[in-house]
Amino acid sequence: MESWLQVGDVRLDAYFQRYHVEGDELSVVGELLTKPAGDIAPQSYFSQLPLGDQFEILQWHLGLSSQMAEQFDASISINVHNSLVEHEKDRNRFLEILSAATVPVLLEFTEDYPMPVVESSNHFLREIRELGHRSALDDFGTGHNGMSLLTDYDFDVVKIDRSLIANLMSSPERQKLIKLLSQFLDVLGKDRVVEGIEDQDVYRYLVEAGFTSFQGFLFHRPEPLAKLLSETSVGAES
Amino acid sequence: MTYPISADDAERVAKLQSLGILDSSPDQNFDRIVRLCQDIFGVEIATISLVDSERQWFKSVVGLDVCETDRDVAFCNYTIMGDEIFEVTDAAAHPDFAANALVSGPPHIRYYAGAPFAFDGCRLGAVCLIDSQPRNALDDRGRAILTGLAAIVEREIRVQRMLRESVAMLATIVKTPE
Repeated sequence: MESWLQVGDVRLDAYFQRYHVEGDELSVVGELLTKPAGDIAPQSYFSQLPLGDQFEILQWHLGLSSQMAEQFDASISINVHNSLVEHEKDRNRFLEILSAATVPVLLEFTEDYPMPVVESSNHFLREIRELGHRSALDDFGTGHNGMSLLTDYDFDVVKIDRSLIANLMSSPERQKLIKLLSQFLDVLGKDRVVEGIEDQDVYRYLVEAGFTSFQGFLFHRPEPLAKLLSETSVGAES
Repeated sequence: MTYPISADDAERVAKLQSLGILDSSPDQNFDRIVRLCQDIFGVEIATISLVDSERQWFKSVVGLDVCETDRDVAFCNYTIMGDEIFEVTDAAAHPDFAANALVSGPPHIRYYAGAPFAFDGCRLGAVCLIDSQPRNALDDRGRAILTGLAAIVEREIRVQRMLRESVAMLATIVKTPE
């Protein structure tokens, strides 16, 4: 499995951004990120990609995940474009591909593109669980769908968007709300990852508030997979 | 099989489906309740059943290896018609159930008792006791316990719903700059 994939004229490169897990320096947990080479904006590029290519990317990601698991005992999170699971036949194909995966992965569905209606989605998310994988609501707090996605959809993990922790240290009010958010998610049994951690004080506050998994430049930057897979260890914290 | 169905069943099903509880992940709060049912009443099977449009889905189940059945064989169809416990002490001798596939075939139900629970006035399902042997009808104490457990399920569903709504609302509040 190569750390890059040629899709038409575009070359995609894979990166790995490790999470910092409080109190656990050993486990390698993180997100697989894919970027088109050159000046292409990733978000708009992936939104317009035909389903066939999206499925190819999914298979590629699953292959890379098992490679990362083999080499670093890593648990990998991969992004899924919601258009891939919009229709039942695509969801079935998705599950078929997933059932061939050799390691458990966390599948991230973004908040900024609609998910199928709640009954179909929860059924689908349950099938993902039954195959031994987990699902995450990505970018929680950015879109307008967040409310119903969190109230009605049964994701295992919530990834909290950086916009929810912006200016955290200058607002005691926000700090209280974030703490409450953490407690609520705890009671609901949802794991969570906070995205966009760049500041030591914010990080300390969030640990205090009960968060344990963090993604951000304060700890780890995305590293090219080509480099990682040729090495023997995942880079130390920066 | 035919079963009783209320005039507002479509509305009831829509309410159930909107709660996001169908097909949701295992929840220890509900699992504890079915285990308690098994222990307290000494039955083989206990379930928290939700009656969907074409199936009953078990939010929690002990003593049985399936997570759902077709709706037309569900005893709970009868339970959700009223607010009281619905009980069948010997299904094999009961005109409505003797021919039921769950009675004539596995898990060979002979005894059933269900206490309904509701959300916003819609009966979503029932806490059920099931056994492959006929049993005496529940006494007053047993009925009070089963009704109490169904009330706990009802409240748990409501509280979880409120919590989810609160978390989502909190997220919008946190984001709004002062």
